[in-house]
Amino acid sequence: MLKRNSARTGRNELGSGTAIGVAIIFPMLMLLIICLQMLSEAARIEQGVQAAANRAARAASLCCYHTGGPDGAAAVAMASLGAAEMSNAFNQVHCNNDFVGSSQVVFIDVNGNAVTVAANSRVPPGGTVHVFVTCRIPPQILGGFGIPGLDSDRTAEGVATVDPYRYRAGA
Amino acid sequence: MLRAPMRRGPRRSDERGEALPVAILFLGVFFTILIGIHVVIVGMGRMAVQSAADAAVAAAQAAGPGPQECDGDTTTTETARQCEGILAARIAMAGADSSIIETRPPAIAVESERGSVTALVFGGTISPVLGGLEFTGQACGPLDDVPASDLTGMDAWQC
Repeated sequence: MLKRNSARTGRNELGSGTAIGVAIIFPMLMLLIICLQMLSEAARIEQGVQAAANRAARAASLCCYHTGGPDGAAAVAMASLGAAEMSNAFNQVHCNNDFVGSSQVVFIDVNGNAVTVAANSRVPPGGTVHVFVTCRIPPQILGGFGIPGLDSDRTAEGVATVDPYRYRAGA
Repeated sequence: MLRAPMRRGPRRSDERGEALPVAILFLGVFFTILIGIHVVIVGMGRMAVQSAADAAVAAAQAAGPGPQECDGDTTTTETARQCEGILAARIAMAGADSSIIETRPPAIAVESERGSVTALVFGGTISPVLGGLEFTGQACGPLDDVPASDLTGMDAWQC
């Protein structure tokens, strides 16, 4: 009788061992899917941040005669970045920080010198416009839920060349 | 009567109770791999069409407003902005054909009064979980000839 009981116990332990293995592996598999989804979403948001920086640099390089001022190139770049955050924007940029306020616009002339951002400072013909943006990306999973405390900063730089022969209708 | 002792082979363990958990485990791993591939494919597809839409807008912004024929239908005339945008979107999609293919022709809408251009790009791929999937990439931006005083406001950036 004792032998029979021990044999039965052995059979049950074999089955339950595999069940425990399943119980351990399943959460890991779910975690793997969530990690893949988070990486995919992070890559998509980074693409949006980079596109916003490129768009801002391009707009600043084409719009204006002057770097600063109310209608200057820097203001146009900031307006472009602000538009990327608008709720109805395509590929909207979601950041947990001040996306526009933390960005920086730098003008470099053909000699490699930085040009000051001022209302009387001319956009350097043949030079470049650099827009640096920083976005604190919330890690998102299915449905767009973020995980608090797992934000990560991403920095992007958009560069555009100032065409010296292009007509500018702006200030 | 004497009976020869029966030879008993090695004792075999009863593993019938493991069949169901092992089957569940196998299916779990199998579907996890499929879902993982699906997530990666969807991510790549969405990024590819969005890149194509951004490229289309950049090309359409720089093009002129004049008429041009580019869709093969001589009864209709497109603008150069539309043609340049469509061409850029198609080139971008062709460059990403390892992950996505063009399912419908790109659409470029130019709003001259507001000074903005909007691009829609359609791409598709096959997922092992849900079969055929179609993605839509959308992007917009102001035309290059919009004055700076209009660009600092938000109206020119509305799509």
